[in-house]
Amino acid sequence: MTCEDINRLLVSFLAHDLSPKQEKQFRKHLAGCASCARETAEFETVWRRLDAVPEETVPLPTKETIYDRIYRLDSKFTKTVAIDLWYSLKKTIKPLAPLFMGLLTTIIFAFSLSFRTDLKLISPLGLTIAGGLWTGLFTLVYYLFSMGGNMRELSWRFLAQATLIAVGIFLLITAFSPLPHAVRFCSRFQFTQPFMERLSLGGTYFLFGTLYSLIPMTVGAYFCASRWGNKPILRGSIAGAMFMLLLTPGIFLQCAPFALGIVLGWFGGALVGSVVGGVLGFWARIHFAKNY
Amino acid sequence: MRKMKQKTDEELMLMWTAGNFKAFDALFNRYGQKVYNLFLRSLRQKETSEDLLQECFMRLAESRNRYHPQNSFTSWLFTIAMNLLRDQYRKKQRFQATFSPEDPEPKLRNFADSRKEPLNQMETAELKIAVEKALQTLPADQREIIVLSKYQGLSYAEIGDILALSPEAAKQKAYRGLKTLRQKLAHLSEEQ
Repeated sequence: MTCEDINRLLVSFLAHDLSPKQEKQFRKHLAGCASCARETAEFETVWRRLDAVPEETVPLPTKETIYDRIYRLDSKFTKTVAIDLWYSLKKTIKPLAPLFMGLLTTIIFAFSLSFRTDLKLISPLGLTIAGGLWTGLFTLVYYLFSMGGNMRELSWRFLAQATLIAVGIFLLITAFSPLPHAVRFCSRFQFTQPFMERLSLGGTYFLFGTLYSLIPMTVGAYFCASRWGNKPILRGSIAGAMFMLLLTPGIFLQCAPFALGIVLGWFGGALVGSVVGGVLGFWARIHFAKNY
Repeated sequence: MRKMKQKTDEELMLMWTAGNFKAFDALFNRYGQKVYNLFLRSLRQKETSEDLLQECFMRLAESRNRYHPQNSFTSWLFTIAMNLLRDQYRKKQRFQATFSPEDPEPKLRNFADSRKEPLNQMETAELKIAVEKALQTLPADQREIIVLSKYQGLSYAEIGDILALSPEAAKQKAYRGLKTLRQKLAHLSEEQ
């Protein structure tokens, strides 16, 4: 053990926080080093002098007040069977929260779609598969969101966060203006009609599919990118792909009455919009946000 | 069934969470005085220390459902206490603002008591004042570590855990604090 070690371990020695082996080596060094022995003795004196401040007992009125306050708190909150049940229920359902949220989001989405989609055109098996797939995907994304994450590393938590924000925005947009309605409107609107006539129906759906996923994903990625520092292409692509996966059952449920060309155009547009939106959002935040 | 005294802190905490008030009583008997003296030694204000002690155990009560027995109870409790202490420092901006060196009350009380006492007791009272005063001159972080190590008997690993420091950093701060105390108390005679 060197003098430097003694310096480093001195406070642990005083507090009896050394292992028996370390203490033996410590004492051995002191026996052969006058300056360390002197310094240790001086610190021991200081340490001993600190005993001059005696320990005081808690005044009885203070103790009684604390007991009284806690007793009242206990009788209010934990002495009932209902509260005990609630806490045990909370503990049990916590791991199931992503599943619950996944199911809830699917129900909300399906409910909002049921008003404008003729779901009768889809077979019961198709509906079941779409619903199950949707629940599973949402559960997975909520699970990723519930995981911890380092802000500086590629974190699934924040990727999932970006995706969920994008889904929320997408839900709002489609609630107010469903994609097929927007296509119909633009086909009849005098300013957009000439342009729309030049595009095939598949191309139109591709264009709208791109816009409908690009906008939410760009916004979602932009808001979550403040937590990250680099790799916008990788992060944008992963988040965009997750977003696209979440949209897939929704598009499937809406496109039952359409021809294959339209369906492919819609899916293709959604895929391009999701990935480009993700990359664009992360990239924009990294390069333009002043507080980054 | 083992008696309360034989149970570990963590077991008692779980029992208290389940609604056993006797478990709280056992915990308070173990730690109430320690926490109270932590506040008292850090602030030198009796009333504030009593208030903080109340607040500390209320916060412990309110947060007990979040306690996991894998975590050390001591760290959990002293983290709450240290947070309260820091809030108190912040309220007063600087610790010096809460401690008025001109305040003659502790000195007068001690000397008034010591007038009837033998010489060595008078010296003890003097030493107590000198040590208390020297402790107050330390930066808050150094004082906290010395108080937790010396008076609460916590290891540097536990202290590091409570104050979000590495044990090595905690040791360094304690070393610096003790070095300052050595200078401040150098005027005292060897016997003291």
